[in-house]
Amino acid sequence: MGPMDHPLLSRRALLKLGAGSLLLPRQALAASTLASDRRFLFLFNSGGWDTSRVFTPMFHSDTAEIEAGAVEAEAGGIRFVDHADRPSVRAFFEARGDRCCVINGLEIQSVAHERCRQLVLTGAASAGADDWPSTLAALDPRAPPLPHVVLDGPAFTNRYTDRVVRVGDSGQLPELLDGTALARADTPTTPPSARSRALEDAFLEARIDQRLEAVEAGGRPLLEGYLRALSERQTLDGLIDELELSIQTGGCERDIVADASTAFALFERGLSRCAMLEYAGWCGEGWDTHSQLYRQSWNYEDLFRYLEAILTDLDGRVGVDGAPLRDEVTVVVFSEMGRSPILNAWEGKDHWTFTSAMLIGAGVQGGQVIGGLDAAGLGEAVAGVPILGAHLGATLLALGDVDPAEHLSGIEPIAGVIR
Amino acid sequence: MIALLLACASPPATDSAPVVDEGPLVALEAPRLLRRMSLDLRGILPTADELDAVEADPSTLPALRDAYLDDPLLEERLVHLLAERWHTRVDVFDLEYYDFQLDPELEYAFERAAGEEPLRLMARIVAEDRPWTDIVLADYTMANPLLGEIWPVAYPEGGAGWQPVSWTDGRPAAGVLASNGLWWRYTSSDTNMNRSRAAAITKLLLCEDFLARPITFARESVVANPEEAVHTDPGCLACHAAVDPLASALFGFWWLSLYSAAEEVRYHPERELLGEEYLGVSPAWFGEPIRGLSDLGYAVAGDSRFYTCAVETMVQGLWRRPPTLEEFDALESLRRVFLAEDVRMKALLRAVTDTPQYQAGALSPDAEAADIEREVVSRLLSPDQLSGVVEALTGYRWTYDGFDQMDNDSLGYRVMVGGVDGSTVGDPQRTPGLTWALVTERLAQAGAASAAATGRVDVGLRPGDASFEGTLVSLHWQLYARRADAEWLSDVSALWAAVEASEGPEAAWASVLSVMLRDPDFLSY
Repeated sequence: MGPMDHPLLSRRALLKLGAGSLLLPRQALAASTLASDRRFLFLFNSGGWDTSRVFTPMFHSDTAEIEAGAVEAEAGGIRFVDHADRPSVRAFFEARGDRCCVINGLEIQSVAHERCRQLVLTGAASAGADDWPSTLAALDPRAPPLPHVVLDGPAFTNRYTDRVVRVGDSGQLPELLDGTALARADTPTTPPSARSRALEDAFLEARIDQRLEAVEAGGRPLLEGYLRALSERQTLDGLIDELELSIQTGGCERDIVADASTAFALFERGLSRCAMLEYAGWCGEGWDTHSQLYRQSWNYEDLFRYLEAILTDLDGRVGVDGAPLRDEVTVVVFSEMGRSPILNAWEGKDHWTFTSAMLIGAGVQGGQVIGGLDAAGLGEAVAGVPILGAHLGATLLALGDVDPAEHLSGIEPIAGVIR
Repeated sequence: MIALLLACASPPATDSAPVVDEGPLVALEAPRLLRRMSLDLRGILPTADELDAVEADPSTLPALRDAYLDDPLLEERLVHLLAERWHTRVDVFDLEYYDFQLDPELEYAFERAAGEEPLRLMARIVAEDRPWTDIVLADYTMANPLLGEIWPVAYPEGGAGWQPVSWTDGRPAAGVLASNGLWWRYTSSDTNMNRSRAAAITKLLLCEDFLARPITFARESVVANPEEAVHTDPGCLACHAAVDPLASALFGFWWLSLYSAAEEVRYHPERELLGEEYLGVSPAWFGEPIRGLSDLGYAVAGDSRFYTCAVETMVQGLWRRPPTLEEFDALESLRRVFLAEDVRMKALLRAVTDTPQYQAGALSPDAEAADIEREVVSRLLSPDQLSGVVEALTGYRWTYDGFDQMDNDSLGYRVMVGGVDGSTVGDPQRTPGLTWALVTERLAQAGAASAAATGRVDVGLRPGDASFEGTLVSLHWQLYARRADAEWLSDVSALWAAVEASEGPEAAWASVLSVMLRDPDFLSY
């Protein structure tokens, strides 16, 4: 099947989007995916994980709390904290460690949840910044119709808010698409027929085109954005029967494996560049363990089990151009903060400004751990540079062929992460 | 930053007209400008008569704007405008409706009532044209019957709606600083000890965001004993010297549990002194000792940054973008107007709506890329404006299980249609996106179908009837503040005929109304 025969995007949509390149064959793509082709799955672990349970062995510290039964281990090139309660962690690194790069000692520069989320995702504490996925998506030269899909989790946006597609806390997007949202009302109404809707769309598009011809400088972005949004909606309308966009739960928590599957379905159709998922811990109880520290272990065990399922799903998929989707997708696993090396009065751990992130897959030099914590729990510099949230961002932007220098002054990608 | 610069500027003059430097800005035509003012100040469209008046004589526009400032709808509109900055209208608090044994159908009403309390107080002060300083000095707050039931306030027996009420739990007079709604939104943990609340005060009232300052914890002294470090480490003291004494003044809102209704509804005077014990510092406002919350409002009101921040806040709300450093002179002029008018917000609103940045509807051909990037010459209707206008036109308001679907995110579409959720989305959306297009489309369809079904439009009218064209022309003027031309009339009549042919006149009218409500001239202002 040739790219222009692809059944999922209409010719009109292609022309409207100016996205001829979206489906055009790329030479040598199968051998080496271009950075500009990369897609990103962000998996946010909300609440602040205790990196000493997996990523940052603290056995060299005299003061840090050491989990009973924990031992330092290595698998797949990853040095980590092993424990009998977390077999999925060991199994994951044994099987996938060669695709993983763990970044330790990432300083977020705050200990407040809200601010840390913003800092780890934007590198800036002030309002008005776009986060890494939104930026990567907005600057994707392929201009996919659903640039950054937020299935769950945070999305900080300013310039690129219109490039973010939120599925909604209760799965509102699919109901808006199929019109059932109109029935979900105290005064239910019925959507127009498909024919009427098409007539209305045509009228509206002609009207916007007329306005564009007459509008003066400054007024174009709104009209052009409207036209693009209509086109994106029409693209998605054609896929509504193929995509599972509704929210799925597994037991007492959100099913992040299903969410990842939705993201991959969008990726393999060339519809999106980025997606955000959130793992809120065992039964949605979060990672914010000021007490009940044992839940960290439960969370990690579940998280790595889910990651294994997510990567297995990814490995079985094929991208738009026929190359394995795994060659295009980078998975970014992160949390907004870490937890103190020492216990508090409630046998829990308070917030800590140093955290870890794990990058998996396309473009990543796997089988390595970069950075670490010293005996006091402070982040160690990498190549003489303390690693901040902005460095993580610069690395991700570079992975996605977006010049970090245009977004982050004086911040370089973390050395050695990118293959 | 701008607030700081303004605060350091020369002493306030008593009167001065705003600096006018129009640069590449081209003003809206008078009817569209009136429409913008009406939407910003009242949340509704101007009447056809008002549009006729300014079309015939644009000099009547200021008088109409002034009338809008005295319109009772101003108060409700300000609640929404202020919410974009104060971020208290969140969907989730630590406490839920069931903590107060409220019925499930009151979930949304409970969330909004709590979050709107400080917003309603500020809006009432503006509506009554009282000095802005009242927002931190008032010895009352605002409550509706629901809050009257669950909070320690003296809600008038038999009262209805939002009413000024006094607290009955002995809390000092401090306006919004003594409000439950503010501190339910900005909570504090055992280890944070009100510091995040102190930071919220300086951010919201002084436009100084401590949390935006770059910091590092990468020092042994900080790690070993952080509570000691905030008193001794120079890097920590840079902020904590101001933050901790301010936090110390807030311990009447120190809760022993974050999830206890009994704890969180009441002020605890007996805990006021805990701040000194827990934080090791006495209450103070940037080095000036205060007795606690009872002095805090006066300290804020005595700080010149409070006034410059008020100007910056209103400018951002009405320009729909933050001011730039290059606009320092314009902000300073507005500040002088504000001070000259005894810090009454209506005077400031009037002055801001006179600025070229507010009145801009286009950019001149010589505008540079930076101008196009910065200026918001065409604004998207905010969710509350959209909801209110559609309801006024069609009688339809999208609610579900008591939730206003344009005003929540857990079930509804507030952020999806460009609004602010108060946690991850802090600024309104500027340009349309996919979900915006979807929500506006579905709202338009629902409103149009409802209007056609309930007789708000005479579905018996058809092309060829004089009233058919008259109705459309009138709607065009009312909805867009622009006159319909022959081409549009022809196109919309053709749409009507195409739908009517297969689905009948009611569906035809629904389609026509729907496209009118989805028109960019309707959805922007």
